[in-house]
Amino acid sequence: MPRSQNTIYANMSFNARDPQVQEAAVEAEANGVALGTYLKKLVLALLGHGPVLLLQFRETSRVRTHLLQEAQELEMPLDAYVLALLADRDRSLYEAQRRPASLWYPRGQLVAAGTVPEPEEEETEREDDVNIEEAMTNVNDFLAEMANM
Amino acid sequence: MSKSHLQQRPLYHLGGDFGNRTSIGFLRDVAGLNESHASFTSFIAEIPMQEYQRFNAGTQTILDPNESEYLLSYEGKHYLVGKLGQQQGPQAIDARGVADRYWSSHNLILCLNMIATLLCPKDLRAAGGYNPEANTYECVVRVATGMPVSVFTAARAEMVRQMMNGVHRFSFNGYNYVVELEVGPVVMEGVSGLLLHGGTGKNKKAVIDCGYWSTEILRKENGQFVRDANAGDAIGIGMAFDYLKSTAAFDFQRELSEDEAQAILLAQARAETLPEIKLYGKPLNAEQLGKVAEAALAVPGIPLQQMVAARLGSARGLVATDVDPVVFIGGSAYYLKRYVVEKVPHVRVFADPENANARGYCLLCVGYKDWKYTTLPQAMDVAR
Repeated sequence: MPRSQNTIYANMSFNARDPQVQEAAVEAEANGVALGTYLKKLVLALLGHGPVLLLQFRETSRVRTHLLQEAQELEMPLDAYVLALLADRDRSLYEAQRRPASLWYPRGQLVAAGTVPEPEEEETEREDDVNIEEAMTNVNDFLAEMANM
Repeated sequence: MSKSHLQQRPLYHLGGDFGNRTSIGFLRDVAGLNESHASFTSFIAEIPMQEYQRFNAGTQTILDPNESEYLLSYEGKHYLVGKLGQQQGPQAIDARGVADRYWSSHNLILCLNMIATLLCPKDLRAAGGYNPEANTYECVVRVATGMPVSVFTAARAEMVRQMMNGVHRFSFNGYNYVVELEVGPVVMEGVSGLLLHGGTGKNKKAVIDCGYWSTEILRKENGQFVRDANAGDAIGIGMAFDYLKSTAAFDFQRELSEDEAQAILLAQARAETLPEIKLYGKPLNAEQLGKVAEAALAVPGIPLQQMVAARLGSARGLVATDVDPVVFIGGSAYYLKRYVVEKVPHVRVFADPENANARGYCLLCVGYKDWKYTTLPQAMDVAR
Protein backbone atom coordinates (compact mmCIF):
# COMPACT_ATOMS: atom_id res chain seq x y z
CA MET A 1 0.00 0.00 0.00
CA PRO A 2 1.51 3.34 -1.07
CA ARG A 3 2.19 5.80 1.77
CA SER A 4 1.52 9.51 1.79
CA GLN A 5 4.42 11.81 1.05
CA ASN A 6 4.04 13.17 4.59
CA THR A 7 4.75 9.83 6.16
CA ILE A 8 7.61 9.77 8.61
CA TYR A 9 9.27 6.43 9.18
CA ALA A 10 10.67 5.48 12.56
CA ASN A 11 12.68 2.33 12.96
CA MET A 12 12.74 0.75 16.39
CA SER A 13 14.48 -2.32 17.71
CA PHE A 14 14.02 -3.92 21.12
CA ASN A 15 15.73 -6.47 23.27
CA ALA A 16 13.38 -9.43 23.11
CA ARG A 17 14.44 -10.45 26.66
CA ASP A 18 13.27 -7.17 28.14
CA PRO A 19 10.27 -8.15 30.32
CA GLN A 20 8.38 -4.96 29.44
CA VAL A 21 8.85 -5.62 25.75
CA GLN A 22 7.64 -9.16 26.31
CA GLU A 23 4.62 -7.77 28.14
CA ALA A 24 3.89 -5.41 25.26
CA ALA A 25 4.10 -8.35 22.85
CA VAL A 26 1.60 -10.29 24.97
CA GLU A 27 -0.74 -7.30 25.09
CA ALA A 28 -0.46 -6.84 21.35
CA GLU A 29 -1.38 -10.47 20.84
CA ALA A 30 -4.29 -10.13 23.26
CA ASN A 31 -5.51 -7.17 21.21
CA GLY A 32 -5.16 -9.15 18.00
CA VAL A 33 -2.61 -6.83 16.40
CA ALA A 34 1.07 -7.00 15.52
CA LEU A 35 3.55 -5.62 18.04
CA GLY A 36 4.43 -2.77 15.68
CA THR A 37 0.77 -1.71 15.31
CA TYR A 38 0.29 -1.90 19.07
CA LEU A 39 3.33 0.24 19.77
CA LYS A 40 2.15 2.73 17.17
CA LYS A 41 -1.14 3.06 19.11
CA LEU A 42 0.79 3.74 22.30
CA VAL A 43 2.88 6.39 20.58
CA LEU A 44 -0.27 8.02 19.20
CA ALA A 45 -1.75 7.96 22.72
CA LEU A 46 1.34 9.76 23.98
CA LEU A 47 0.66 12.39 21.37
CA GLY A 48 -2.98 12.64 22.43
CA HIS A 49 -4.56 10.63 19.62
CA GLY A 50 -6.27 7.27 19.28
CA PRO A 51 -8.37 5.13 21.62
CA VAL A 52 -5.71 4.57 24.29
CA LEU A 53 -5.61 7.05 27.19
CA LEU A 54 -2.37 7.66 29.03
CA LEU A 55 -2.68 9.34 32.41
CA GLN A 56 0.21 11.26 33.91
CA PHE A 57 0.69 11.55 37.66
CA ARG A 58 3.35 13.21 39.70
CA GLU A 59 5.83 10.81 41.22
CA THR A 60 4.44 11.70 44.68
CA SER A 61 0.80 11.82 43.65
CA ARG A 62 -1.53 10.96 46.54
CA VAL A 63 -4.32 10.11 44.14
CA ARG A 64 -2.13 7.59 42.32
CA THR A 65 -1.02 6.07 45.64
CA HIS A 66 -4.61 5.63 46.78
CA LEU A 67 -5.64 4.19 43.44
CA LEU A 68 -2.77 1.72 43.61
CA GLN A 69 -3.71 0.66 47.14
CA GLU A 70 -7.33 0.18 46.15
CA ALA A 71 -6.39 -1.74 43.01
CA GLN A 72 -4.10 -4.00 45.06
CA GLU A 73 -6.89 -4.67 47.54
CA LEU A 74 -9.03 -5.89 44.68
CA GLU A 75 -6.09 -7.74 43.12
CA MET A 76 -6.52 -5.79 39.90
CA PRO A 77 -3.90 -4.11 37.69
CA LEU A 78 -3.98 -0.35 38.15
CA ASP A 79 -5.05 0.39 34.58
CA ALA A 80 -7.91 -2.12 34.72
CA TYR A 81 -9.04 -0.65 38.03
CA VAL A 82 -9.02 2.94 36.75
CA LEU A 83 -10.83 1.82 33.62
CA ALA A 84 -13.51 0.14 35.74
CA LEU A 85 -13.93 3.25 37.88
CA LEU A 86 -14.33 5.47 34.85
CA ALA A 87 -16.74 3.05 33.21
CA ASP A 88 -18.82 2.87 36.41
CA ARG A 89 -18.90 6.61 36.61
CA ASP A 90 -20.03 6.91 33.04
CA ARG A 91 -22.68 4.25 33.36
CA SER A 92 -24.21 4.83 36.73
CA LEU A 93 -23.06 7.90 38.60
CA TYR A 94 -26.15 9.50 40.09
CA GLU A 95 -28.47 7.56 37.88
CA ALA A 96 -31.77 6.92 39.58
CA GLN A 97 -31.52 3.33 40.76
CA ARG A 98 -32.08 4.61 44.28
CA ARG A 99 -31.63 1.21 45.82
CA PRO A 100 -29.32 1.61 48.77
CA ALA A 101 -28.18 -1.47 50.57
CA SER A 102 -28.56 -2.27 54.27
CA LEU A 103 -32.20 -1.28 54.64
CA TRP A 104 -34.20 -3.25 57.16
CA TYR A 105 -37.35 -3.60 55.11
CA PRO A 106 -37.66 -5.40 51.78
CA ARG A 107 -38.03 -2.64 49.22
CA GLY A 108 -40.64 -3.18 46.58
CA GLN A 109 -41.97 -6.39 48.07
CA LEU A 110 -45.47 -7.15 49.20
CA VAL A 111 -46.85 -7.44 52.68
CA ALA A 112 -48.29 -10.82 53.49
CA ALA A 113 -50.05 -11.97 56.63
CA GLY A 114 -49.05 -15.50 57.46
CA THR A 115 -49.62 -16.95 54.04
CA VAL A 116 -48.01 -16.66 50.65
CA PRO A 117 -50.39 -14.53 48.56
CA GLU A 118 -51.74 -15.72 45.25
CA PRO A 119 -50.43 -13.77 42.25
CA GLU A 120 -53.88 -12.20 41.71
CA GLU A 121 -53.89 -10.88 45.28
CA GLU A 122 -50.42 -9.40 44.79
CA GLU A 123 -51.55 -7.52 41.73
CA THR A 124 -54.64 -6.18 43.46
CA GLU A 125 -52.66 -4.96 46.45
CA ARG A 126 -50.08 -3.13 44.35
CA GLU A 127 -52.68 -1.41 42.21
CA ASP A 128 -54.54 -0.22 45.28
CA ASP A 129 -52.19 2.69 45.79
CA VAL A 130 -52.55 6.43 46.34
CA ASN A 131 -55.25 8.47 44.66
CA ILE A 132 -53.36 11.76 44.46
CA GLU A 133 -56.46 13.93 43.93
CA GLU A 134 -58.12 12.44 46.99
CA ALA A 135 -54.88 12.78 48.95
CA MET A 136 -54.55 16.47 47.99
CA THR A 137 -58.12 17.08 49.20
CA ASN A 138 -57.12 15.54 52.53
CA VAL A 139 -53.91 17.60 52.55
CA ASN A 140 -55.79 20.86 52.00
CA ASP A 141 -58.34 19.99 54.70
CA PHE A 142 -55.54 19.10 57.09
CA LEU A 143 -53.62 22.31 56.39
CA ALA A 144 -56.78 24.34 57.00
CA GLU A 145 -57.25 22.46 60.27
CA MET A 146 -53.60 23.15 61.18
CA ALA A 147 -54.01 26.87 60.52
CA ASN A 148 -56.97 27.02 62.90
CA MET A 149 -55.19 25.21 65.73
CA MET B 1 -20.31 35.77 44.16
CA SER B 2 -22.66 37.97 42.17
CA LYS B 3 -26.29 37.96 43.08
CA SER B 4 -27.37 37.64 39.47
CA HIS B 5 -26.05 34.08 39.44
CA LEU B 6 -28.22 33.22 42.37
CA GLN B 7 -31.43 34.32 40.75
CA GLN B 8 -33.85 31.88 39.26
CA ARG B 9 -32.60 28.99 41.34
CA PRO B 10 -34.80 25.92 40.88
CA LEU B 11 -37.26 25.25 43.70
CA TYR B 12 -38.33 21.84 44.98
CA HIS B 13 -40.69 20.37 47.56
CA LEU B 14 -39.25 17.75 49.91
CA GLY B 15 -41.07 15.44 52.28
CA GLY B 16 -38.47 14.14 54.71
CA ASP B 17 -39.01 11.24 57.11
CA PHE B 18 -35.77 11.13 59.08
CA GLY B 19 -36.23 8.04 61.22
CA ASN B 20 -33.52 6.88 63.58
CA ARG B 21 -32.90 3.85 61.40
CA THR B 22 -33.82 4.96 57.90
CA SER B 23 -34.22 8.31 56.19
CA ILE B 24 -36.73 8.48 53.36
CA GLY B 25 -37.31 11.50 51.14
CA PHE B 26 -39.87 12.28 48.46
CA LEU B 27 -39.22 15.18 46.14
CA ARG B 28 -41.47 17.08 43.73
CA ASP B 29 -40.65 20.01 41.52
CA VAL B 30 -41.95 23.58 41.86
CA ALA B 31 -45.23 22.63 40.19
CA GLY B 32 -45.71 19.70 42.57
CA LEU B 33 -45.02 17.18 39.81
CA ASN B 34 -42.28 14.70 38.89
CA GLU B 35 -42.10 12.76 42.12
CA SER B 36 -38.85 10.98 42.96
CA HIS B 37 -37.67 9.38 46.16
CA ALA B 38 -34.60 8.04 47.89
CA SER B 39 -33.72 6.31 51.15
CA PHE B 40 -30.62 5.53 53.15
CA THR B 41 -29.72 4.33 56.60
CA SER B 42 -29.71 7.20 59.09
CA PHE B 43 -26.20 6.60 60.41
CA ILE B 44 -23.76 9.51 60.58
CA ALA B 45 -20.10 9.15 61.48
CA GLU B 46 -17.91 12.22 61.89
CA ILE B 47 -14.44 11.63 60.48
CA PRO B 48 -11.18 13.59 60.86
CA MET B 49 -9.75 15.75 58.10
CA GLN B 50 -7.12 13.12 57.21
CA GLU B 51 -9.76 10.50 56.61
CA TYR B 52 -11.83 12.98 54.64
CA GLN B 53 -8.89 13.75 52.36
CA ARG B 54 -8.34 10.06 51.75
CA PHE B 55 -11.94 9.59 50.68
CA ASN B 56 -12.12 12.86 48.81
CA ALA B 57 -9.08 12.07 46.65
CA GLY B 58 -11.26 9.97 44.39
CA THR B 59 -14.74 10.68 45.69
CA GLN B 60 -16.54 11.27 42.45
CA THR B 61 -15.63 7.87 41.08
CA ILE B 62 -15.17 5.68 44.13
CA LEU B 63 -18.24 6.44 46.24
CA ASP B 64 -21.48 5.20 44.75
CA PRO B 65 -24.54 7.28 45.67
CA ASN B 66 -26.73 4.43 44.48
CA GLU B 67 -25.20 2.24 47.17
CA SER B 68 -25.86 4.70 49.97
CA GLU B 69 -22.23 5.81 50.16
CA TYR B 70 -22.07 9.47 51.09
CA LEU B 71 -19.33 11.84 52.14
CA LEU B 72 -20.70 15.17 53.32
CA SER B 73 -18.86 18.21 54.66
CA TYR B 74 -20.70 20.96 56.48
CA GLU B 75 -19.45 23.86 58.59
CA GLY B 76 -15.89 22.54 58.72
CA LYS B 77 -16.84 19.02 59.78
CA HIS B 78 -16.78 15.89 57.66
CA TYR B 79 -19.26 13.04 57.85
CA LEU B 80 -19.76 9.63 56.35
CA VAL B 81 -23.49 9.11 55.96
CA GLY B 82 -25.64 6.10 55.13
CA LYS B 83 -24.06 2.69 54.67
CA LEU B 84 -20.54 4.12 54.91
CA GLY B 85 -21.48 5.79 58.19
CA GLN B 86 -22.97 2.57 59.55
CA GLN B 87 -19.73 0.74 58.74
CA GLN B 88 -17.73 3.03 60.99
CA GLY B 89 -18.77 0.97 64.03
CA PRO B 90 -18.66 2.84 67.33
CA GLN B 91 -18.23 6.18 65.56
CA ALA B 92 -21.59 5.75 63.82
CA ILE B 93 -24.47 7.62 65.42
CA ASP B 94 -28.13 7.00 64.73
CA ALA B 95 -29.42 9.17 67.60
CA ARG B 96 -31.77 6.40 68.71
CA GLY B 97 -33.96 7.60 71.55
CA VAL B 98 -32.58 11.12 71.40
CA ALA B 99 -35.70 13.27 71.27
CA ASP B 100 -33.93 16.51 70.43
CA ARG B 101 -32.43 15.08 67.24
CA TYR B 102 -35.46 16.44 65.39
CA TRP B 103 -34.24 19.99 65.98
CA SER B 104 -30.51 19.24 66.08
CA SER B 105 -27.72 19.26 63.52
CA HIS B 106 -28.13 15.46 63.23
CA ASN B 107 -31.40 15.76 61.32
CA LEU B 108 -30.15 18.80 59.43
CA ILE B 109 -27.25 16.74 58.08
CA LEU B 110 -29.63 13.93 57.13
CA CYS B 111 -31.82 16.49 55.37
CA LEU B 112 -28.93 18.04 53.43
CA ASN B 113 -27.70 14.56 52.52
CA MET B 114 -31.19 13.65 51.32
CA ILE B 115 -31.40 16.75 49.14
CA ALA B 116 -28.05 16.04 47.49
CA THR B 117 -29.01 12.40 47.00
CA LEU B 118 -32.23 13.39 45.26
CA LEU B 119 -30.81 16.35 43.35
CA CYS B 120 -27.72 15.18 41.52
CA PRO B 121 -25.42 17.68 39.76
CA LYS B 122 -26.64 16.54 36.37
CA ASP B 123 -30.29 17.28 37.23
CA LEU B 124 -29.50 20.60 38.90
CA ARG B 125 -27.38 21.69 35.97
CA ALA B 126 -30.25 20.86 33.60
CA ALA B 127 -32.65 22.82 35.83
CA GLY B 128 -30.42 25.91 35.81
CA GLY B 129 -29.05 25.38 39.30
CA TYR B 130 -25.35 25.41 38.41
CA ASN B 131 -23.31 28.49 39.28
CA PRO B 132 -20.17 28.31 37.10
CA GLU B 133 -18.43 31.22 38.86
CA ALA B 134 -18.45 29.46 42.20
CA ASN B 135 -18.68 25.91 40.81
CA THR B 136 -21.66 25.28 43.07
CA TYR B 137 -25.01 23.58 42.60
CA GLU B 138 -27.75 25.78 44.01
CA CYS B 139 -31.43 25.35 44.73
CA VAL B 140 -34.26 26.28 47.05
CA VAL B 141 -35.98 23.46 48.91
CA ARG B 142 -39.22 23.71 50.83
CA VAL B 143 -39.51 20.98 53.42
CA ALA B 144 -42.27 19.24 55.34
CA THR B 145 -41.39 16.70 57.99
CA GLY B 146 -42.69 15.02 61.12
CA MET B 147 -41.88 13.88 64.62
CA PRO B 148 -43.31 11.19 66.90
CA VAL B 149 -46.56 11.79 68.74
CA SER B 150 -44.78 11.52 72.08
CA VAL B 151 -42.36 14.29 71.13
CA PHE B 152 -44.60 16.57 69.12
CA THR B 153 -45.55 20.04 70.36
CA ALA B 154 -46.10 23.23 68.38
CA ALA B 155 -43.09 24.79 70.11
CA ARG B 156 -40.84 21.90 69.06
CA ALA B 157 -42.16 22.11 65.51
CA GLU B 158 -41.00 25.74 65.55
CA MET B 159 -37.60 24.64 66.87
CA VAL B 160 -37.26 22.35 63.83
CA ARG B 161 -37.92 25.35 61.57
CA GLN B 162 -35.43 27.51 63.47
CA MET B 163 -32.76 24.83 63.14
CA MET B 164 -33.18 24.14 59.45
CA ASN B 165 -34.29 27.40 57.87
CA GLY B 166 -31.61 29.34 56.02
CA VAL B 167 -28.92 28.98 53.39
CA HIS B 168 -26.60 26.00 53.83
CA ARG B 169 -23.29 25.45 52.05
CA PHE B 170 -21.94 21.94 52.00
CA SER B 171 -20.11 19.49 49.80
CA PHE B 172 -21.44 16.06 48.92
CA ASN B 173 -19.35 13.35 47.26
CA GLY B 174 -17.03 15.98 45.84
CA TYR B 175 -19.67 18.44 44.60
CA ASN B 176 -20.39 21.80 46.23
CA TYR B 177 -23.96 22.69 47.05
CA VAL B 178 -25.69 25.89 48.20
CA VAL B 179 -29.22 25.11 49.37
CA GLU B 180 -31.78 27.40 50.91
CA LEU B 181 -34.11 25.47 53.17
CA GLU B 182 -37.45 26.55 54.49
CA VAL B 183 -39.41 24.19 56.68
CA GLY B 184 -43.18 24.55 56.54
CA PRO B 185 -45.46 21.85 57.93
CA VAL B 186 -44.09 19.80 60.84
CA VAL B 187 -46.66 17.20 61.81
CA MET B 188 -47.09 14.08 63.91
CA GLU B 189 -45.74 10.89 62.34
CA GLY B 190 -48.57 8.75 61.05
CA VAL B 191 -50.70 11.64 59.79
CA SER B 192 -49.60 10.84 56.25
CA GLY B 193 -51.15 7.38 56.40
CA LEU B 194 -54.62 8.88 56.50
CA LEU B 195 -53.81 11.70 54.09
CA LEU B 196 -52.77 9.14 51.47
CA HIS B 197 -55.03 6.20 52.21
CA GLY B 198 -57.81 7.45 54.50
CA GLY B 199 -60.33 8.46 51.85
CA THR B 200 -62.31 11.71 52.04
CA GLY B 201 -65.32 10.79 54.20
CA LYS B 202 -65.97 12.03 57.77
CA ASN B 203 -66.15 8.52 59.23
CA LYS B 204 -63.88 7.35 62.02
CA LYS B 205 -60.43 6.45 60.77
CA ALA B 206 -57.17 5.36 62.32
CA VAL B 207 -53.58 4.83 61.35
CA ILE B 208 -50.97 2.56 62.91
CA ASP B 209 -47.44 3.66 62.04
CA CYS B 210 -44.88 1.08 63.15
CA GLY B 211 -41.26 1.83 62.35
CA TYR B 212 -38.00 0.18 63.39
CA TRP B 213 -38.09 1.34 67.00
CA SER B 214 -41.38 3.17 67.56
CA THR B 215 -45.11 3.00 66.91
CA GLU B 216 -47.66 5.79 66.61
CA ILE B 217 -51.44 5.35 66.57
CA LEU B 218 -53.61 8.27 65.47
CA ARG B 219 -57.37 8.54 65.21
CA LYS B 220 -59.51 10.84 63.13
CA GLU B 221 -63.18 11.64 63.74
CA ASN B 222 -65.44 14.07 61.88
CA GLY B 223 -62.56 14.97 59.60
CA GLN B 224 -60.23 15.98 62.42
CA PHE B 225 -57.46 14.20 64.31
CA VAL B 226 -58.46 13.43 67.89
CA ARG B 227 -55.60 14.89 69.86
CA ASP B 228 -56.18 12.92 73.09
CA ALA B 229 -56.46 9.63 71.23
CA ASN B 230 -53.03 9.85 69.65
CA ALA B 231 -50.31 7.75 71.20
CA GLY B 232 -46.71 6.73 70.68
CA ASP B 233 -44.68 3.89 72.18
CA ALA B 234 -41.25 2.27 71.82
CA ILE B 235 -42.38 -0.77 69.82
CA GLY B 236 -40.83 -1.74 66.49
CA ILE B 237 -39.40 -4.57 64.44
CA GLY B 238 -35.92 -3.59 65.63
CA MET B 239 -36.78 -5.50 68.83
CA ALA B 240 -37.24 -8.67 66.76
CA PHE B 241 -33.94 -8.13 64.94
CA ASP B 242 -32.12 -7.71 68.25
CA TYR B 243 -33.78 -10.76 69.82
CA LEU B 244 -33.12 -12.97 66.80
CA LYS B 245 -29.47 -11.97 66.52
CA SER B 246 -28.71 -12.34 70.21
CA THR B 247 -30.59 -15.66 70.50
CA ALA B 248 -28.87 -17.11 67.42
CA ALA B 249 -25.51 -16.10 68.84
CA PHE B 250 -26.32 -17.65 72.24
CA ASP B 251 -28.18 -20.80 71.15
CA PHE B 252 -26.40 -21.62 67.89
CA GLN B 253 -23.09 -19.73 68.35
CA ARG B 254 -23.79 -18.10 65.00
CA GLU B 255 -23.56 -14.35 64.35
CA LEU B 256 -26.32 -13.21 61.98
CA SER B 257 -25.85 -10.27 59.67
CA GLU B 258 -28.62 -7.67 59.31
CA ASP B 259 -29.46 -9.07 55.87
CA GLU B 260 -29.68 -12.64 57.20
CA ALA B 261 -31.88 -11.55 60.09
CA GLN B 262 -34.14 -9.68 57.67
CA ALA B 263 -34.43 -12.69 55.36
CA ILE B 264 -35.27 -15.03 58.28
CA LEU B 265 -37.86 -12.72 59.85
CA LEU B 266 -39.49 -11.94 56.53
CA ALA B 267 -39.72 -15.62 55.58
CA GLN B 268 -41.19 -16.45 58.99
CA ALA B 269 -43.70 -13.58 58.73
CA ARG B 270 -44.81 -14.90 55.34
CA ALA B 271 -44.81 -18.55 56.38
CA GLU B 272 -42.24 -19.25 53.68
CA THR B 273 -39.26 -21.59 53.79
CA LEU B 274 -36.48 -20.05 55.87
CA PRO B 275 -33.19 -19.27 54.14
CA GLU B 276 -30.42 -21.76 54.81
CA ILE B 277 -28.03 -20.47 57.48
CA LYS B 278 -24.76 -22.33 57.77
CA LEU B 279 -22.56 -22.77 60.80
CA TYR B 280 -19.02 -23.90 59.93
CA GLY B 281 -20.36 -25.09 56.57
CA LYS B 282 -23.31 -27.07 57.97
CA PRO B 283 -26.89 -25.78 57.84
CA LEU B 284 -28.61 -24.87 61.10
CA ASN B 285 -31.71 -26.84 62.07
CA ALA B 286 -34.49 -25.02 60.20
CA GLU B 287 -37.18 -26.03 62.68
CA GLN B 288 -35.25 -24.65 65.65
CA LEU B 289 -34.40 -21.49 63.73
CA GLY B 290 -38.08 -21.09 62.82
CA LYS B 291 -39.06 -21.27 66.49
CA VAL B 292 -36.55 -18.60 67.37
CA ALA B 293 -37.76 -16.42 64.50
CA GLU B 294 -41.36 -16.84 65.63
CA ALA B 295 -40.42 -15.86 69.16
CA ALA B 296 -38.52 -12.86 67.77
CA LEU B 297 -41.55 -11.61 65.84
CA ALA B 298 -43.64 -11.93 68.98
CA VAL B 299 -41.31 -9.60 70.90
CA PRO B 300 -42.71 -6.50 69.18
CA GLY B 301 -45.85 -8.27 67.85
CA ILE B 302 -47.54 -8.88 71.21
CA PRO B 303 -46.99 -5.36 72.63
CA LEU B 304 -48.16 -3.93 69.31
CA GLN B 305 -51.35 -5.99 69.57
CA GLN B 306 -51.88 -4.72 73.11
CA MET B 307 -51.28 -1.12 72.08
CA VAL B 308 -53.74 -1.44 69.19
CA ALA B 309 -56.35 -3.00 71.47
CA ALA B 310 -55.88 -0.29 74.08
CA ARG B 311 -55.95 2.64 71.67
CA LEU B 312 -58.62 1.48 69.25
CA GLY B 313 -60.69 -0.71 71.58
CA SER B 314 -63.73 -0.13 73.75
CA ALA B 315 -64.42 -1.07 77.37
CA ARG B 316 -66.29 -4.11 76.05
CA GLY B 317 -63.07 -5.38 74.51
CA LEU B 318 -64.13 -4.78 70.93
CA VAL B 319 -61.44 -3.23 68.76
CA ALA B 320 -61.98 -0.70 65.96
CA THR B 321 -65.40 -2.08 65.09
CA ASP B 322 -66.64 1.35 63.99
CA VAL B 323 -63.34 2.57 62.53
CA ASP B 324 -62.81 2.24 58.79
CA PRO B 325 -60.28 2.37 57.36
CA VAL B 326 -57.56 1.34 59.77
CA VAL B 327 -54.34 1.85 57.83
CA PHE B 328 -51.06 0.17 58.80
CA ILE B 329 -47.95 2.01 57.57
CA GLY B 330 -44.23 1.86 58.34
CA GLY B 331 -41.62 -0.77 57.47
CA SER B 332 -42.74 -3.06 60.30
CA ALA B 333 -45.96 -3.72 58.38
CA TYR B 334 -44.00 -6.23 56.30
CA TYR B 335 -43.37 -8.31 59.39
CA LEU B 336 -46.16 -7.65 61.89
CA LYS B 337 -49.37 -7.41 59.89
CA ARG B 338 -50.75 -10.69 61.19
CA TYR B 339 -50.50 -9.54 64.80
CA VAL B 340 -52.64 -6.52 63.97
CA VAL B 341 -55.06 -8.58 61.84
CA GLU B 342 -55.85 -10.72 64.89
CA LYS B 343 -57.29 -7.62 66.58
CA VAL B 344 -58.33 -5.58 63.54
CA PRO B 345 -59.33 -7.96 60.73
CA HIS B 346 -60.02 -5.14 58.28
CA VAL B 347 -56.65 -3.40 58.70
CA ARG B 348 -55.27 -2.27 55.35
CA VAL B 349 -51.66 -2.29 54.25
CA PHE B 350 -50.83 -0.59 50.97
CA ALA B 351 -47.82 -0.95 48.70
CA ASP B 352 -44.54 0.42 50.05
CA PRO B 353 -45.84 1.13 53.57
CA GLU B 354 -42.41 2.43 54.63
CA ASN B 355 -42.77 5.36 52.24
CA ALA B 356 -46.15 6.63 53.40
CA ASN B 357 -44.90 9.27 55.85
CA ALA B 358 -42.39 10.91 53.52
CA ARG B 359 -44.74 10.77 50.56
CA GLY B 360 -47.52 12.43 52.54
CA TYR B 361 -45.14 15.10 53.87
CA CYS B 362 -44.18 15.91 50.29
CA LEU B 363 -47.83 16.47 49.36
CA LEU B 364 -48.26 18.63 52.47
CA CYS B 365 -45.31 20.66 51.25
CA VAL B 366 -46.91 21.13 47.84
CA GLY B 367 -50.25 22.16 49.35
CA TYR B 368 -48.80 24.51 52.00
CA LYS B 369 -49.27 28.23 51.23
CA ASP B 370 -47.76 30.02 54.18
CA TRP B 371 -44.11 30.13 53.06
CA LYS B 372 -42.33 33.08 54.66
CA TYR B 373 -38.92 33.26 52.96
CA THR B 374 -38.92 31.28 49.76
CA THR B 375 -40.78 32.54 46.74
CA LEU B 376 -40.41 31.92 43.05
CA PRO B 377 -39.10 33.29 40.83
CA GLN B 378 -36.88 35.29 43.09
CA ALA B 379 -33.26 35.66 44.07
CA MET B 380 -31.88 33.49 46.82
CA ASP B 381 -30.30 35.78 49.35
CA VAL B 382 -27.25 33.92 50.55
CA ALA B 383 -26.50 36.58 53.12
CA ARG B 384 -29.64 35.92 55.11
